[in-house]
Amino acid sequence: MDNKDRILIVDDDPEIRRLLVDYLAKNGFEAFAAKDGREMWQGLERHAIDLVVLDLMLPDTDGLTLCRDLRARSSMPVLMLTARGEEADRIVGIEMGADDYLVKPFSPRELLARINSILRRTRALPPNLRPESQRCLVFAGWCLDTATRVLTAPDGVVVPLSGGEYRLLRILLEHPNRVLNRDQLVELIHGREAGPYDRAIDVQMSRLRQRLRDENREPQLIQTVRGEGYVLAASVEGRAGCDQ
Amino acid sequence: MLRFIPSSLFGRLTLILVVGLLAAQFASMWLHMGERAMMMAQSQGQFSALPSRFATHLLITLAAVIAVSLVAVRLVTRPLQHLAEAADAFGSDLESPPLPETGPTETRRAAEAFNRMQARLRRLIAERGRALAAVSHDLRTPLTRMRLRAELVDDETLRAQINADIDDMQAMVESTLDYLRGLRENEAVQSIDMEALLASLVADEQALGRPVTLTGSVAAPYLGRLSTLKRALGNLIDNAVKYGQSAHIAIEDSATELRLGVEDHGPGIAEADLARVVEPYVRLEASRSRETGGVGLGLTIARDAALLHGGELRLANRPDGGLAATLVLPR
Repeated sequence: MDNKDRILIVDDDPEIRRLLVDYLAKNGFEAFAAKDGREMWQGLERHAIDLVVLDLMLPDTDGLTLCRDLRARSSMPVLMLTARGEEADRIVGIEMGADDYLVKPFSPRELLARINSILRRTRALPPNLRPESQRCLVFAGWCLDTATRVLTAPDGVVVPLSGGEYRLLRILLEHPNRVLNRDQLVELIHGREAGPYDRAIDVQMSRLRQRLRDENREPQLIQTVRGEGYVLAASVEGRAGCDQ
Repeated sequence: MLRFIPSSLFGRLTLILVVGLLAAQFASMWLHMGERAMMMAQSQGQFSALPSRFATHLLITLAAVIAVSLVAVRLVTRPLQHLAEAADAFGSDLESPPLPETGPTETRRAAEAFNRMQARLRRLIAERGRALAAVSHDLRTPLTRMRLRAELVDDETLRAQINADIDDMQAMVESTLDYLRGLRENEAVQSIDMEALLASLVADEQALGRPVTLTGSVAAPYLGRLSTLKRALGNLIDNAVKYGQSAHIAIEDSATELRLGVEDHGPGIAEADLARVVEPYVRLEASRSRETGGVGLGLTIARDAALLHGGELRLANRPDGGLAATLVLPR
């Protein structure tokens, strides 16, 4: 038995379908293709699919509706593809429950990286909180919008985050009140094992604390557990939007 | 009563002048008659009082004429002022509201003509934008195919070259779409932690191994449009890294304005080209622009963002070499 991950590609462009199937097959996946919603449901019935790569623009139903229906029935991970890079589309995609979002023309290597990272995330360490179709995460008066990747402070000031800060905060928010050690954090963020000198996480953590105005000698929000790791000491709840 | 007021500006002015001057004449006649009556009553006149009476008389007439002229002038200039304000507003905001089509015939006609022109311009720009967006957008599917096909090429050098070409094309598509988006997007104004914004941009650049640094600090949150500012700063940093090998961001904050300077150590820009280089699709003819790609929209996008915030983009060659592109944002 081979234990290759099975990917279902849903895209209306036959060439892209063929090329993607070949490419994923070459990179250690078992890939299937569907040209529309009907074929997608058939594919899901026939094969034990691990992840769906879904194009936003499809001939019969649009990808967003499909994504929502899919999410209503299962916790199947979805990577959304789109030819539109507009913020509004990304927001809707995330709201409909897509795990990640890639704008055409994407680089195939980027696609591989995202697929791997989603599979690892949904598998390795199941989050305490799965904010399905909850766009915003609220904690201690702060609000993180996962679609725009913008953090809003309790006083309403908008605090933009770097990619690294965002990923780190997202991981912490998905595992509130749970101590995560450096290895787990590196694994969840970068999808690789922590090297012996991997101190980058500590630097990023101190930056994130700075953004969260939590840089006292004894940080309150993200606490350090000596010898173990870090813990986000706050309750997290999902919400539709960040404006109170 | 209102029915008798003429509808044209010319008519109204004539009416005001005639009524005003008649009123002045009546006032002066009335004073004159008062004086004569007094003189006759006192018969052995005190002529010494006469010059002062004459002065009062003159003053009243003068005041009446000045008042009438002021009203008339105001009547003429106010609509002109409205028109100028509207033209100005339209220049910076395509979606500015149309002029009210009221008032005397001439003003109304001018307002109507202005509104027609505004609508036509808006339509024209929207159509051009749509055409450009459609082309840029449709290029994405073939570009995706090319990216995937490039992966099938075994020759590593060739694959790298093809990928570089695709990168160029993608950059053109993206920046054109960015530019068009900036022209039509109406982003909400938010209170932004600018230091966090700059630090996040710098961290993202550093993660890609680019030499980008940051100094200075921001005293208070800035009221602005987040994506617009982010795009503008991103473009300035990109340019600095592309042409100047590195970027240094210097923040200068005061009570009146926030200055974000992006400095590089490149060759700078010839003084003669400084004004031209911010125009859309203008690329300087130096051979380096071929190597570095780009469509010539980065600075335009940054300038438009500054203008949208009531500020400006200042470009200057630094005394010790390199270019300084400064976003000046009034607080």
